[in-house]
Amino acid sequence: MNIIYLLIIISLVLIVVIFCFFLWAVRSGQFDDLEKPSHQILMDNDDTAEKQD
Amino acid sequence: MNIATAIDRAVSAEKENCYHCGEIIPDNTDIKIAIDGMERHMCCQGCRAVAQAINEFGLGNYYRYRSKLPPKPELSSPESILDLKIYDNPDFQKPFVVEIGSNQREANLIIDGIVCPACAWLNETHLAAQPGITSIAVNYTSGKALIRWDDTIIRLSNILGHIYHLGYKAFPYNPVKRQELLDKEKKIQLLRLGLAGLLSLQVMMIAIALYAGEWKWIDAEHRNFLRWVSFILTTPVMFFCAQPFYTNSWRAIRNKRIEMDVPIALGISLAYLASVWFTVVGTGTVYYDSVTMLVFFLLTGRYLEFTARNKAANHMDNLEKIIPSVIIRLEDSPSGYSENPVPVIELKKNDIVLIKPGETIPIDGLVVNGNTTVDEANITGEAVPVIRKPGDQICSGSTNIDSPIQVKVTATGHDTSFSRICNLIEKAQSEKLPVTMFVDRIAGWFLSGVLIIAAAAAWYWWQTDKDMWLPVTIAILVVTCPCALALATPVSITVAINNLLTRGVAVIKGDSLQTITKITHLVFDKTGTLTEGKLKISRIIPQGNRPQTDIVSIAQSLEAESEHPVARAFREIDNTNTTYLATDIRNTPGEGITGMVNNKKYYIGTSQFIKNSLGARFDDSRIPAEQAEHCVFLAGENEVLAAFYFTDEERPGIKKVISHFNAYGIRTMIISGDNQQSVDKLAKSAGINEAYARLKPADKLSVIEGLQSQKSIVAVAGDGINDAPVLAKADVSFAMGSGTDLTKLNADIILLGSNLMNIVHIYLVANRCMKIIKQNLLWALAYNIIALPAAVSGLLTPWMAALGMSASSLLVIVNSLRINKQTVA
Repeated sequence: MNIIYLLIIISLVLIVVIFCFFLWAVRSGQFDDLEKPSHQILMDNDDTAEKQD
Repeated sequence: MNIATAIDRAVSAEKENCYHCGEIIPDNTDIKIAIDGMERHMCCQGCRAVAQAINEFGLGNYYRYRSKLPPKPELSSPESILDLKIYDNPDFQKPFVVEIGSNQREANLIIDGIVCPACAWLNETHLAAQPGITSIAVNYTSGKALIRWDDTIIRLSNILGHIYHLGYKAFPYNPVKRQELLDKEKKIQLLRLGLAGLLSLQVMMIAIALYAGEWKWIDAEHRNFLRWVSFILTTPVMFFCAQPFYTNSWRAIRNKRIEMDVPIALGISLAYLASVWFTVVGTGTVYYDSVTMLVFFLLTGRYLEFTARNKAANHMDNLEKIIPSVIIRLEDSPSGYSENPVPVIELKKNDIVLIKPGETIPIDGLVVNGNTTVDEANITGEAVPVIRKPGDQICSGSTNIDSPIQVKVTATGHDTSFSRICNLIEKAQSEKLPVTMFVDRIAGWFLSGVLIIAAAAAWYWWQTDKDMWLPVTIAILVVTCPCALALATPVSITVAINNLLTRGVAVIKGDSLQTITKITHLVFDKTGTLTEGKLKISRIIPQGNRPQTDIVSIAQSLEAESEHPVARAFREIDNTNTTYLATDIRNTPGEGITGMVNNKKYYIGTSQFIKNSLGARFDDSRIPAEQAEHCVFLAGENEVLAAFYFTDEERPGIKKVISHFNAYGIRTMIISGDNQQSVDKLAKSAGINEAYARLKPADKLSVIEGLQSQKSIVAVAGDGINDAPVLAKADVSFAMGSGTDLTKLNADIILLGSNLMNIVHIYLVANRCMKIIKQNLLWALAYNIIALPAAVSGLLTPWMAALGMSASSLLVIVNSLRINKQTVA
């Protein structure tokens, strides 16, 4: 059962990593607009790039 | 099939609907262009220009993915694009443009007309492709854009011009400090919520191991280790995530008030400290799971409420832009004076500015030329427009109604009464419903009661069973937390307001939702509300031998400055004749206009108005009474020159709307300035109970007052300048989105689209909202009545209490979300 000490410490480290990632996501505005990005994948196309030249 | 393609099909299947804006194509219009190889029909040149621009820039996908139809674009005239040039003025840019590095500039814009994610995409993609634009981000939720550009390659006016060409309107937006603070607050709340969620999951997992261990068997060493890990995981929740509860309760206590955060702060502190103590000494029970779970659920509820409110506030913020940022300044020039559009910010004291009817006045000043009436309801609360003559004061935020006036500036910028309007808008946001205030008062008493009961129970259990006092006290503090009570109304209201917003309905006054459920009468104005409000001239009959083009030119010059639907109809006549300039224009609302053209006096207006003006020289006996009402006459000093006949299309779906309200037992009425016959006809075909015709603005007001004196609750739906006092007098007012700025500000609820069914929708949502508030309050009451004795008697352990209270709060939130359920409308 002593493996639990190692496992829990690893999970604590993981939590710190996850939190740092979350902190970055919030700070960089990943949550600012939650509606448009879900449509983005449908809309982006290559036509625009061609027209640009 | 998603909504976008559904709309696409609906639009393309019906040929009579415009491919771009979805409006019905007028009979005599045939405008088509090819998009993606298909021929598409448009309703007007404005739509054609926009659709062509979209297509040429290779953005045709917009039509495939949009989920809502855009507003009908106005044809951007060369002058309106020219007006944009002032946005390049460095002084004008100062408040909203930030210089970052060499030539790099950054600005916030509000883009008007963003209704679906495809709109945001369209603007973003098109602008990003322009040389000189370094970055652009359009936020669909708030309709705002942050844009960076290189000032040596592209000017701000070009950027705004590009947006105009796409059929949207852009205004520079000065991010108010309040908004910045809100954004920051939102990020911190999100961090708190996320961390609490992450950690409470871990603590719960360990807690399950601990409970299982207690039930079967667990090594003391392992148990203590798990407790220490829980301690480490709970500590950030206690000190970071739960911080708002402490600051709120501290503020409440300092002000000698008790709020719902007080027992929460007490409960979690007690549970946490006790757990820490038992962890150190290695005995007793720990409550880490109760603490983290409680904090997580509470934060979830608050975050939902906060974002919903933020969304509504955002919408209100956009209303501030109605104060125009450009104004016409009269400047001396060799040929008398010239009219120059200048930024409002550039105005100085003693400048003379021209203010047209329908315009909101951005400065404080003195009238120097012209007579008019002005609506000052925003500042004084006085609903009836006041008359302003030369020498009278004009205050900013009021709206000019009748005639153009020249005003000498006495105060600009922050010195004006505009700051008072901002306060007004803020007040509307923070306004509480009567039911909310009632609940708040009860909650205060309830909480004091809980604290006293908790203290008494602690004392009792201390005497009888020393092991029990701690869990019992924690359970009482946690289980009775009146979250359900406190969340019941605000969550329901915000859900309802947001639901309406997505339908294109802006609720300006929150308490109107409660009033709507009690209405007994629904009164419609006819023109612009039940009808499209877009009058069209169907026939012109010259009465003398003057050429028709000349007559039209005179009529157009007289109506040039008016915002009345009739005037707009005149502007739409194609006229190749030279345009005249009318001076000394005087507007008698609801009747007509007089003015001087080429040194001759002319009258244009109703037959009554012409009769009053010309006296016996106007013989109206030849005109059938019915026709006279659909008709506007143009007359010179001595004779009638022409008769203009009008038609106004009914809005679709009136009958359906009326049948709904008849079914709800609400009396429907029309009040109109139009003639008896046409009002009766409309009332009969739509099934409207009562119809009043030939009413002047004052008569309309007395009809409403008469109803109210009989204890009726009256809702009025209106549009147009003449309605403002009536809308202000009504218990609840709806304004159609095409109305002028003035009516928008006076109405409780604005219908941004042209769909009349939205009124039914508002009624249904408001009713459902009130029903759900009642359910929520009832639930909160019942829950507390059962839970409190259970906790006092020691039946509930703290974790059960935390679970019960979280479940109760979540139930309230989930129940409130039911407001979003689909309706018939």
